[in-house]
Amino acid sequence: METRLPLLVVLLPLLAVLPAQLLGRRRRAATAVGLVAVVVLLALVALAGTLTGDATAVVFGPTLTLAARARGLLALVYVLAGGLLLLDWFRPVGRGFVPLALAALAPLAAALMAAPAGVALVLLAVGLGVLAAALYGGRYEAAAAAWRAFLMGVLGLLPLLWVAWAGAAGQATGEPVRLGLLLATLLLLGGFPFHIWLRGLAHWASAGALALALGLGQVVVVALLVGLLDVVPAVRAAPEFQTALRGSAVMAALLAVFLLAHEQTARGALGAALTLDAGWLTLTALTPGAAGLTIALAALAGRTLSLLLIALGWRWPASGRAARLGPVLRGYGFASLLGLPLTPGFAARWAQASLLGGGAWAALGIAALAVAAWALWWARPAGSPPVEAEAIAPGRDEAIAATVLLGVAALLGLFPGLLTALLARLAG
Amino acid sequence: MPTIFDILDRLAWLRGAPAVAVVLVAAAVAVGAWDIGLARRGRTVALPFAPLAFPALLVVYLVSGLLLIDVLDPRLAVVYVLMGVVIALIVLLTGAQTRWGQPPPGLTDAETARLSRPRPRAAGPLVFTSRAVLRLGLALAVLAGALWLARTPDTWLLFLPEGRAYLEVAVFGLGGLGLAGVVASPEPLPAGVGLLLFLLAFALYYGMVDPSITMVVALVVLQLVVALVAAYLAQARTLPVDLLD
Repeated sequence: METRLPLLVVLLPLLAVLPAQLLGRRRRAATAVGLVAVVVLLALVALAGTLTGDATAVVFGPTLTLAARARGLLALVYVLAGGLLLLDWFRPVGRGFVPLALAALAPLAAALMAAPAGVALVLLAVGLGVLAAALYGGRYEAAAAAWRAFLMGVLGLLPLLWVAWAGAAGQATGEPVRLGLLLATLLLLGGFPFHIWLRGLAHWASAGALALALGLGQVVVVALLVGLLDVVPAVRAAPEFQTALRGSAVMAALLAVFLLAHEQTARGALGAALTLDAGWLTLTALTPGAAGLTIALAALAGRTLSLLLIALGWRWPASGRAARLGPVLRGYGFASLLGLPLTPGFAARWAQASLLGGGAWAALGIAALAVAAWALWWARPAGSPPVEAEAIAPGRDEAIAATVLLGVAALLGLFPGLLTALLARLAG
Repeated sequence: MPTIFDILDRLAWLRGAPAVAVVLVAAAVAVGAWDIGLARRGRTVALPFAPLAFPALLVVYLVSGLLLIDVLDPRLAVVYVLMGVVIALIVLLTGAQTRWGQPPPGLTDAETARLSRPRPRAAGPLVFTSRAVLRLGLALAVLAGALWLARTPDTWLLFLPEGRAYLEVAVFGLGGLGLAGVVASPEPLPAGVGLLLFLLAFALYYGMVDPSITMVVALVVLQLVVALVAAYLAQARTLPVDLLD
């Protein structure tokens, strides 16, 4: 059904950028603008679901379609964005966070709706550019790390652009396609040995900006990647492709163990945990269709929630009212990022472990995960805030919000089926 | 006023292999000019070679237009050339604003250490860093590889029509030089120039397989986004905000 709804979904966050930027000095007012925009966007997506047929708009040739999967993914993106904006309401995430988060929502939404796939990938690159600016967030040292993240993203998109053409032309066969998709998966998701940008970001970027780029942003990356992998089913079936991804995941886990045991700082421990999480996320490329996407979305939802907990916990004061909540937020966030049982990250980690395929890979991977959990407990920095973190005394409403967040996380950890069932519906 | 086709007629002598040679040499200069300079008597700051990246990048984009018309409609190839001029200007402005990667004078030792720039070395009148040596070495290796490829045509891109083998050299030479620029620098501007060269090689290749206007525009947008992000982050890497204050 031809309608302007998809165009509105793209333009609305851009329109909200201006007031959010103008209200920059009044942080909470800017955040309120962002929250209102996200709620309206969610309403638009819900409205699109009530229409007969998919809402479609043609924009200078390419088509934007709010199909069922795009609607589900957009709903997830907006809910995660709402969570991040709520974090900014209580604790400032970084310079210009709200306008940049809103600006990123426009190209990311367009990438989920656009056809042909080549245009969607270029729109994703635009989104990655905005996310790079958010990762910088006014911190000098973070600029180089943000550049590396963007660089890896663009380099990872190029093989996908080629596969998109080859798939459309019926020429997506052979070794180059396999190699291209493997490179794209490792570069875009931060798998071993292309994980170096993750550690730089963990060292310098704010945890909230990390949740934006590595949680919400990666939802769109994973959706496009899984979609293109489905175009070439023979790639997944190739033993070389499977072995490369499993080997990469196990190497990432071993590296994370080594780093967790040696890191002296909280940010170093975060880099190690992210290395493991990203390495195991690449395994989701082995499962076709909605099932693979569901595992990936569960992993990214768990990652975003973990980073939100860590972001709150890092700036929680060590004394005063509700002081005990700080270490709990940090420790539970880290445990969830590793995917330990009874945490929100466990649902995806369990599914990923099953993708290791049994045998030596699975034994090595799970052993590495267990040692990583021990190293996390043993390495004190993971439970302490970073040195430069400036603790802000929480208000009553913030303590309540943190408790609610912790409760939601614990609920998802206790009943992992809740998260996966919801995400399976969103993934179509 | 001359049309595109008049200009192409006048530049017929440069088309084909000569254009590839010019593009690759200019790209090598754009990649290798960073982190190297000429020592000046009585001054602590060397005269940087990095500003040469601007004319080199301009030459790359102007002359690569002659290669793009072999794979695209000439009117679409002109879009690439115009975009290239804009990108070169972005690099020029950003380079000038960031002093081409040199730290501003008057910083204390602690402030300079915080910038985490590599320690320069001197050899005769030249002042350079180890990154510059790596970058130059890689650029020369890629040029040597391109020369080898030019002597053994149809090695990798077997679908090229007869007489267009020079496009293979252009694609792999530009791609290799771009990667050399990317891997040999952590700084956004020099690495960004490398990424732009790599994207130009990709656009040249992609034009051979899918010359549709949609994808031409999409790849133009992609290159502009890369230029803007590199410029923005290069500005951010000039000085920490607290030092600027």
